[in-house]
Amino acid sequence: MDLREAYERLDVEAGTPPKTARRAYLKLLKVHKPESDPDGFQRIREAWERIQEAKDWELEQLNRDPEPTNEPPADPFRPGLADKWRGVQWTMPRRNWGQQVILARGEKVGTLEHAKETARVVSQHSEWGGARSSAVPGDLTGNQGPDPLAGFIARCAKATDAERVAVAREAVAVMPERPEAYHLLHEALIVTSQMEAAAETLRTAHQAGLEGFLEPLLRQHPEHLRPEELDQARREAGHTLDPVAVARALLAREDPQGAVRAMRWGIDAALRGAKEHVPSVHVTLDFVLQLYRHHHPNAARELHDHLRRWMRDAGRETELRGSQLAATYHLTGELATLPRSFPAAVQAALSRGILDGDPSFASSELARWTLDSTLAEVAKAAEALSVYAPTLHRAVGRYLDRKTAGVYAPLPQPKLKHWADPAGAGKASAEADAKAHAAAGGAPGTTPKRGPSRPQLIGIGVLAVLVLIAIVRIVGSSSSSPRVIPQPPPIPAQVGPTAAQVHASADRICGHITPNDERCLAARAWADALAASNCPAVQAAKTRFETAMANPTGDPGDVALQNILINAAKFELERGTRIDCAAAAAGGFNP
Amino acid sequence: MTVVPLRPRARGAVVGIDLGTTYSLVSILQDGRPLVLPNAIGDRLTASAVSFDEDGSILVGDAAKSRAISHPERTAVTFKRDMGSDRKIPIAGREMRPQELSALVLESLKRDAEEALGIHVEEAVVTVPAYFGDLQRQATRDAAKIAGIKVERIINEPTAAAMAYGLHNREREMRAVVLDLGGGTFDVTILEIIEGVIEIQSTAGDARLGGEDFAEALAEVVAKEVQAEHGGDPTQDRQTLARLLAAAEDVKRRLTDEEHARFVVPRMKVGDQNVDLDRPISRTEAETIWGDLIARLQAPIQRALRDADIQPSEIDEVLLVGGATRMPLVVDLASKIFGKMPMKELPADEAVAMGAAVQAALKSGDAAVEDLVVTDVAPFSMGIATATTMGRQQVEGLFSPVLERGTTIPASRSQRFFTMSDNQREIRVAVYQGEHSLVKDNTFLGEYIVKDLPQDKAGAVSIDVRFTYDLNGILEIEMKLEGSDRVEHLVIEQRPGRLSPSQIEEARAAMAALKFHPREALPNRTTLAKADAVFTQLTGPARDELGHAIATFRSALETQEPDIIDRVREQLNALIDALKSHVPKK
Repeated sequence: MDLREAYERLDVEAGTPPKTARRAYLKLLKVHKPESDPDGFQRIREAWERIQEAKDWELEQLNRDPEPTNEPPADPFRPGLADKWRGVQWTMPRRNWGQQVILARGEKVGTLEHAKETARVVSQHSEWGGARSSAVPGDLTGNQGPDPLAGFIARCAKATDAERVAVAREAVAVMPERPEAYHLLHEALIVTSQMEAAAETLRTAHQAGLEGFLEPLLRQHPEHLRPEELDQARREAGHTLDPVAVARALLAREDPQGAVRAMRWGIDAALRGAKEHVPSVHVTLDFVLQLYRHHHPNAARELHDHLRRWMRDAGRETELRGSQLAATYHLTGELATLPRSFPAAVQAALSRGILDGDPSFASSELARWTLDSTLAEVAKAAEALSVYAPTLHRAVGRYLDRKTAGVYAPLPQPKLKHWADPAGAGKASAEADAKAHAAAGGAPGTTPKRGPSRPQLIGIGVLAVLVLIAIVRIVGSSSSSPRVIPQPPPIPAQVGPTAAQVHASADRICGHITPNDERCLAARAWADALAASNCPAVQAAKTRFETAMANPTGDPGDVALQNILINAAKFELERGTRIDCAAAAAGGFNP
Repeated sequence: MTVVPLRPRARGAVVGIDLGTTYSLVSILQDGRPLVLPNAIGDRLTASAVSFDEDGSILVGDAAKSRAISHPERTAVTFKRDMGSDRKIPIAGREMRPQELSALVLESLKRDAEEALGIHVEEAVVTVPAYFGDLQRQATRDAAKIAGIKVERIINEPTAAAMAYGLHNREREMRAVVLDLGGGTFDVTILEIIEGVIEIQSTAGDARLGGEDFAEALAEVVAKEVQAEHGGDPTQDRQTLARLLAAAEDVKRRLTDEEHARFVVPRMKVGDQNVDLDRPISRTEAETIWGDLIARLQAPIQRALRDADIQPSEIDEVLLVGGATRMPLVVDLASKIFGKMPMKELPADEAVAMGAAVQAALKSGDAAVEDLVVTDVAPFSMGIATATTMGRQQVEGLFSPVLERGTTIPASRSQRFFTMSDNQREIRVAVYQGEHSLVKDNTFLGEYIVKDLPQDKAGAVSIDVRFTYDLNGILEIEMKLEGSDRVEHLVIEQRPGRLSPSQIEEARAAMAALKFHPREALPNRTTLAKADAVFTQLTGPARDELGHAIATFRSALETQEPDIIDRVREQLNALIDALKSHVPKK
């Protein structure tokens, strides 16, 4: 490849040393990524590699050589013009907003011919097509005097990003009638991410009567538009301003109210009878769900209201029946009827499920939410769902149940009339059966084998109500419910180890050490106390054992191994203590 | 007016998979950060081991790894080393190819990911050692095909580690070297982070050097000693060999933290005797045994530096990746060569998987990584077979590279080749991959015969051969006849490697017939397998106690009450861990 072409591909001055050229290559790399633009990437990579391999003498020759390949015809009246071309640097703003504004910077060249040539060169270099000829420096009427704009352009070229804005503002102040100055300022502001000011610049230029500023304003800064500008855009022929695009842009900027306003504007237009540039029902519904998705339930509700009114006023509700759209419309409606206090995260998860057409996609988010929430919150949400959004609840209730059903606790036996009917509710009754059994601990009144603490009891009460509601709902629906909740088999009251087992445990402990080791003696005492169901003695023996473990005496041996084995061997003793002497267990540690 | 249909069912997720020699991981980018997903027993690392349970169901992971000790004839481990070869591995009375075993591991990871994410996983980015040749990469693709997972992109492990590191470190401009010493392979990659771009500059490595080799070296020495002392060869008995290797691995790990360790293997079958092994070993002695291996670590490092044309002192950061880099000798070596302490910003075991997740996100256009740019290099040279004349002799079978290793990809390179004899009618373009000067030492990829050449003197007719290699490893060859418009094409794409498409289909069907062990039962099954494995290693009161605990666990399983089972299982796991980490006092 020709070295000069390599430099051109990288948009740097020919002869730039490789180190600097590399930076240009890397900057371009961000635009032509190997993943998304392999051809573009290969082009710039080849160019960079060519420059890398350039020999010193080749670079020298480049600098000396007065014949660039795109040299315009030499003007016999202006010797040395070719040198001026070499000083031209092309640059592109860093943000690609769909249309590139390419400014030519450098020395002014005077004649009309040269101005045209500039435009030709610019369009050749522009890979996005459509260079702006209004950015050609110089006065097209052939004025040979120095153009102040060129001076500003040159200063901008040398300035840092921050300074450039100031310089450009100066240019606008000095030459308010020149569109190029506004373009300069616009570009400078975009590069420093001052979007609102950039929009304002275009607006000022447009209001000053200059041509060709409205369209970039509408296209590049949809979120900064004023309502009257939107209306004007609609009125003027040829504008393809899309309210949905505007709304999306506003949503992306975290302005849900603005987005709803934009959508509403589109819907109002539709109601007024406009046929072009109006959102469809599909799109509006999608947008409502997106609002939920981004945790803006109030805005979503508002938009949904507008949508419903639109459907009603336009008489299109019948259209929706019988289509897949109808299902989504129905589900979105259910979402909208949920009370204001309903957690936005759950609405977001559900809207995801609706958007993807499969409730299982909501489940992982729901699961995450349940992990972060208290039992009460989950129960409340489940209840609200079941009351206001039964279809949604049927779809995702399992995940809420899973969280709340993770608490095993004795529950009073619910009395359901379907229990006695084996043929009737089928699987549903088996579920209810199992659930109720799971709920039943002992009958209230006997000493509970495992005592739930007070807060647990309150939670259990809530759980019971929730479970009942869920069961009633399941049973109330069609008998062939596709949803099967695998229930664990009924848990009988836990039975502690027998006397023989605890003694065997103590024997095994002693087997690892010597009989007169304090640990062995304490273990035997512990076993005896447990066998006699003497809980205070159990506690004392357990404390004695733990002290002995902390200070082993007797045969040193491999104490570490002994401890490991003894800790394993005391399992039955611990288990017995936990089940039969809860207080003693509470005092010590649990394996 | 844009009409946007309602969002269709979301496409499946794209995950990143590190398919390692000893451990595999699956990961995904979430909220801009790579998240390694847990398996059925809650671990993020899944052992790359496959075992057939007594009922014929498949176990993948820790359970299988434990069974390598207790049931070695029903288990397969470290089969990544055989990928790309024709070797079939005997397991549970049948023979399986390494691709099929890897497919089982991939399938298991896929299920774990689906369980953790709650959505289908259809596509994955899989990592391979940078030094894997074309056959081995194709074998990896085969494995993915057999498992029914779409794998379009295979990336190099050190590149993945570089991406995981560079994802949040792009402001600093620096040159770094990644030393990836995994279970079975060693890769060295040199990269530069500049202007926010991660540019890989060179890679080198050794495809048969990993942590396993260090363990094996120790086991070999000890086995020889036992043989000298007792006459028989302990490595003849499969179970003894497995236990010896496990003990060696254990010793290797212990020596990372301590100066001394003991090789303890009771009841080894040596000939027809039972020998109890209890041999102490010090770190110094181990490092002497490892002398050769340490030397083998140096060569790829030097080559990578040479390819990138930089000095060790120009490296700003040293990244250690892969479990075996925990060994002090690796840390020492790296510090000595590069003159600085290696950094440990990323967990050594997980970095590659995290990078694979980043690549998966890049490939699916995830907005979280939209300003990340990575360039990688061709891992091997590609060229054609040529001949030349030296005086009167014609020398054939020379390798002429067209696209050199280390070229930044995607890339396209061209070379001109000439006819050898007068009136030559055909040119055979035989494509090879490798670094050797003779094609017989390289790997054959494919060929094309350009026919009907114009008749002319030798050397007057030429073709331009252009190689284009893309990010997915597809090599396209264009042959243009000089002086005419004729252009011929050959695409060396995702060939089945050594497996034909029908063989892959067969393997897929065979795999579909295999049943995985039920997922919910995996934690219990794994604990039992671990307990069994440790049981075989023990003697005396420790063994009795463990036996009792196992029996308690089995009876707890009978009750079918999750609460009780969980409690007893935790108890048993605690005992197993305590016994494993216990150093017996002499």
